[in-house]
Amino acid sequence: MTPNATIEVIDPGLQTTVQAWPGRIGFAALGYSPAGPMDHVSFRAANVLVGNPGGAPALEVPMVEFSCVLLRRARLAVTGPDQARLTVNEVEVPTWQTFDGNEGDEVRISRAGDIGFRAYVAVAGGLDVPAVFGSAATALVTDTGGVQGRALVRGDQLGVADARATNGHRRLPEELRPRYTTDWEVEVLPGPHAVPDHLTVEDWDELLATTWRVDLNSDRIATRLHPHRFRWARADGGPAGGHPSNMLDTPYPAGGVLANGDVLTILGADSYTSGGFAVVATVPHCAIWKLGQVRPGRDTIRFREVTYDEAVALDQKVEFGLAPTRAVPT
Amino acid sequence: MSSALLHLIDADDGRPVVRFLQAGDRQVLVEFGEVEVDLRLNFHVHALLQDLRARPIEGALEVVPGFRAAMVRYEPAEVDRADLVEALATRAREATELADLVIPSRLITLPVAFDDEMTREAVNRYRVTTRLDAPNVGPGDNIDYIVRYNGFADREEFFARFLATTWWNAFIGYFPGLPSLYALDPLAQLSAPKYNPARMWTAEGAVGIGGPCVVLYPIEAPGGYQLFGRTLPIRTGDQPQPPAAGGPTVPDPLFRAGDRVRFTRVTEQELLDQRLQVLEGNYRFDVVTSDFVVAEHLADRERLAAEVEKVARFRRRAAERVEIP
Repeated sequence: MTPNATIEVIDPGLQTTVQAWPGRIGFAALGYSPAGPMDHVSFRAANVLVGNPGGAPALEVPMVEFSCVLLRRARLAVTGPDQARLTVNEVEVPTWQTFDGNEGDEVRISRAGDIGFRAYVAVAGGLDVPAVFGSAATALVTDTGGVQGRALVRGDQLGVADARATNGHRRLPEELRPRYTTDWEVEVLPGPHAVPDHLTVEDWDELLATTWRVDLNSDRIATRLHPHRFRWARADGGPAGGHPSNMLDTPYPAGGVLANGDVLTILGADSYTSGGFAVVATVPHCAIWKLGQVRPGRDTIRFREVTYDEAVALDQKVEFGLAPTRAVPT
Repeated sequence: MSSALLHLIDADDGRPVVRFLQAGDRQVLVEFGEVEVDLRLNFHVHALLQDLRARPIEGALEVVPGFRAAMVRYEPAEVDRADLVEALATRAREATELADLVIPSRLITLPVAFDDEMTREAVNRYRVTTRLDAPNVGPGDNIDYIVRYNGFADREEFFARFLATTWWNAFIGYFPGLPSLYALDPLAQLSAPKYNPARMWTAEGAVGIGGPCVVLYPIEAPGGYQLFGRTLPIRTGDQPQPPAAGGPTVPDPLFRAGDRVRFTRVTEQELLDQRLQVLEGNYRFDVVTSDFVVAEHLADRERLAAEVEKVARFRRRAAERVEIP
């Protein structure tokens, strides 16, 4: 049996996984992407609320459908968009604050709205999942980490790493929570492969002016946008290939916006570490969380160019809201 | 818009141009030379890599090589980007000249079974589910296509050419443990266009070629390279293990960037037997540590230059007669 077994999955939902932040860092040269939560802001907030380190193993619940039964008394917190309706034994409980459940309680998250895409569930003490290459984060593409490298299924039991963890009840004030929407503004920095060598100035202006529709075929690997033919500053990829987006294989940055032929593709937590396409822009760290809440097949994205200094300052603002002291007693 | 080019070192005395490019707010991409399949560009990447590993720059957390570029990941709170780029530029300028460069390397020998059942299965599935009229799946299969595209007389001539060269693992990436192999023999000059559209399924262990690059598929996956055989499972040492005394599990990859690979031909049955041994943990991979002396490769290139040009011209003429997928 699972030591300290605390939750047992009843309805695993679409693709619920154990994640940890910042994920599998330092192994990109061996081909490992970091994995970890797609929305690290909501994820870390859930952990901070229950008194865990922000990166402790916790659950990522896409499309907001999940239920489990508690096998012992535990303190939990659920974060995410308002569409996540949280109930304990069918009684509604607020998200973004801690709650206690007893042995036998059923905790359910269901969809009650249309905004946002992923909810997060943290348990005080952190989920007890072994680190593989330095992280418990699940990478589905390679079956690495988490529970046997896969999404959770009915009957999975998860223990708690530190069963004695105690912390007061906390909630995160509304003004410090991320703002979810259906029409997203996502910050970008140009490059590494932008104007003038790859894109024309007109292409870049178009990239910023277009309201991009997010393709239904988007996941933890990549957020794919609707096809668009850029003019390109070169006729082809030379020896790298016939399409001007083709490159000799290049390492990809986190948040890279690459031109996969005519399809702009934003790399996600489980993305490829390298490949043969031009990375025309990069989503800076302050905005990467938004890609975890974009709903495939429905939401839109507009890119807003920021300077490097703005990106760094915006990231400090995001981090400010995640400091453990920001959560207030209830 | 602001420029992504943060700094540039002009080409000088045989050294290629070096560009330092913004890649978000936590990475800088260091790119050598222009877009050409010239292994010397990759050796420059390795020279920088070697230097950064021996003498890390504070705040630069990770260096990830590609064919002609290295991605440097840093923590903006720990290092000012302008200082980082300046330090990287100094390193690039002072890096070992190729003529003096020795890259720590290992020679790995792997078995290959050509035209095995899984290769045929992947191509068949593509015909049935994706594109029946693609020139690389008929007449014949991917192997016949490679043969036509490179101007070989028959399959055996292609297999012999593939086996005759040592392959350079320029970098690892895309999937965990996936090596990108380039022929070290300047006379090999093998290449093939990629699938269009991509293939939905490839067996783990598949061996394929796209452009001049040979890859080994570490996992079952979609793909775009022309398939011609199968080798051993190459993803080793990364399955979840009980954490040793609380420490993190340490990866023990079969390949490292800068390794060399040679292939020996086996029958499909021999391969299946050896694959089983790997999966059971009873196979001893043939790995010999031996440094790679870049000067020797450069000398080969120079000595064979005229002949290389002849082969390249022959291959180009053959390729011109072949339809691209």
